[in-house]
Amino acid sequence: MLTFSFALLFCLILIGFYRINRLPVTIIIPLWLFIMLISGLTFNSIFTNLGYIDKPMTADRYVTYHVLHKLISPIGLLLIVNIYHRLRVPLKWGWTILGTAFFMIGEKIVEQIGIIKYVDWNIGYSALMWFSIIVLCLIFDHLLERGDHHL
Amino acid sequence: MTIIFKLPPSFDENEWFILASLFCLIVCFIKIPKIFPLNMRISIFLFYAVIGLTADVIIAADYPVDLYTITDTPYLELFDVIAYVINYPIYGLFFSYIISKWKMSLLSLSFLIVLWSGLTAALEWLSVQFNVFTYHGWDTGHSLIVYLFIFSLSTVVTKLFSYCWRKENLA
Repeated sequence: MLTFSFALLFCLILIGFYRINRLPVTIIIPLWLFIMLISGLTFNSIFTNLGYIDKPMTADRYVTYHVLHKLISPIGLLLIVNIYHRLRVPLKWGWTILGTAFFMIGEKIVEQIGIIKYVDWNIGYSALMWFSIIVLCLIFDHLLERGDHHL
Repeated sequence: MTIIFKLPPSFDENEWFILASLFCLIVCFIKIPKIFPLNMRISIFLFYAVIGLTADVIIAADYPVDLYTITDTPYLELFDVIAYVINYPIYGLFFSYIISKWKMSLLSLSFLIVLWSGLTAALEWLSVQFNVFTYHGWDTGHSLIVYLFIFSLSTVVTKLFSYCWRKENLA
């Protein structure tokens, strides 16, 4: 049931993304994969090495986690990158912080639903993690745009 | 870095195997002609890194199944990450290079997928001898089936990437 709800949420975000997107597919593909890799390594080290968050241990929650990690987080971050490009310089930093707040709230909701369980984790760590991921995405996007026509 | 990704308890044969294969793969990578646009090459790299990480998380994490251990401990070690982000992608890139370089019929493409999966399973068997993987309820036969799926998927993804980049360059 949770999986179905989050898959539906992804479809809704995808429609919104399709309407506002200005990024070419040759940027979306590597950026999506980059987000999956960076967040995958980060989450796995938090779950397994640090043990700060308990990972989902039931089928529905486990699949929902993968929907969140592989579909909803990347498209959310791509939306942030899209809007970031449209803003003037002073607003860009504000938008990055707002984007971090969106992801922190999203993560808190996911925790409240019971998909993940905080052990030694708190909202401050979330802020640091999501801010770092967003900044890395923006840097990677910048590099991709420079390399778009490079053979 | 070392806090997030654990360092190996001892620098033994599996670390040496990863480093030696890393060296060989980098040498081969430098030698092969660059036929893909830069961002497509990056995408192929990232695809193989993600597929390797995802497969290991699904098959070799404690939930839903834990059928093998990578390197020395069940934790995410620094050398696991090196394998994910460098070794797997370069090896995968060679496969994408072969299927993109030469025009192949569906039959020869299927034959190549079987051949490449067999070669990958053989390399995995070699890595097992160096304790890169420690099986508990898994064997190379299972890996062969997974590789057949992964390289079939990789073929579709590589063709899709080629289509996207060709279309983008024409636009």
